[in-house]
Amino acid sequence: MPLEAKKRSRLEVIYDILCAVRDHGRQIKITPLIRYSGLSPQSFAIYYSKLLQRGFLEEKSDSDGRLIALTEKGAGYIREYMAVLRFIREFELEEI
Amino acid sequence: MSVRPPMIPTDVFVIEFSYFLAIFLLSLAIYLQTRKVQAFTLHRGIKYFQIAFLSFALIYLCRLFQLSLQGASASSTPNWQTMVSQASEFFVAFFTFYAISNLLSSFLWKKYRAVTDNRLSMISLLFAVVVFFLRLPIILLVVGLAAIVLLIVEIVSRHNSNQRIFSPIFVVYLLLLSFFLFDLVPSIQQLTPIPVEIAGYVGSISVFAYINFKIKRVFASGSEEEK
Repeated sequence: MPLEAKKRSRLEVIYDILCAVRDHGRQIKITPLIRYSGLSPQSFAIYYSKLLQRGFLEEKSDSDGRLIALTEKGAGYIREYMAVLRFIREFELEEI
Repeated sequence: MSVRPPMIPTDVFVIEFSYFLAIFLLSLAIYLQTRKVQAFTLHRGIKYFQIAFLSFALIYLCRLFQLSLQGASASSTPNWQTMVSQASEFFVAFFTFYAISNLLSSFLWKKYRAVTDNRLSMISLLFAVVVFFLRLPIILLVVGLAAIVLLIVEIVSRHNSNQRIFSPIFVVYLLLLSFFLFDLVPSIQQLTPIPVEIAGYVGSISVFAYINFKIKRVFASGSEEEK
């Protein structure tokens, strides 16, 4: 899911990262996740550490190496963000 | 704005009290339902939308208060009653301008960068002072009509510019502003027969109830999708 080049808000970037993990069976390796996020590795590292801190993502290991998994809290964020988007669209409050 | 002389008839009192209470509760419900979303995103459009409905709630709370004073027994101190009633009138004028400007800002804030929280407050205060001290409630009507014109221009401009499908929510906003002005401006209301006034009240309640229903549906559809 390559992302558009338009400037995204912080909330949107978080949403895109979490969705990228969700859309890959809730587990993904770090390299494709950086690619799907549409961020530079430096920017991604900042978002990634915050998402781990806030419990939206967690790290898991398997035989192939490190995997990033979506937590229930992260799934909750996706639901809330989608509700916000629907609300903004329905009431014509302009995009985030 | 106080529109009735002191000691209004009981049936009119009951109708107006029920109406003010209904709009107060519906506006407050809209504010409370959107509080979580606003805290989550800090989105400016949602904030203006939320403040607009909080202002509507405060307007009708002040009007409930004014009405209660008018319906109060003669044992109340007249001076005290007058002072409180006048303070309520001022707050009604202020929150009216504040509600209208915030409602417009909720969908125009990206287009007009000059819109800021402080400016909206200052302009509303200025208009309220003029209406209150110069006794010119017609300004409420003029500003309200200007808001309706601005809303129509925005609807046409959005429809023409980017092939967006016409959004029915703008009709709801138009109806909301129209009923609100009809109900608030004394010069309109004094010329209106009671049955027409009641029909206006029913229309107004329906618009606020519809917005509440729409918000509930927006948030509920997410939960259903999840299930």
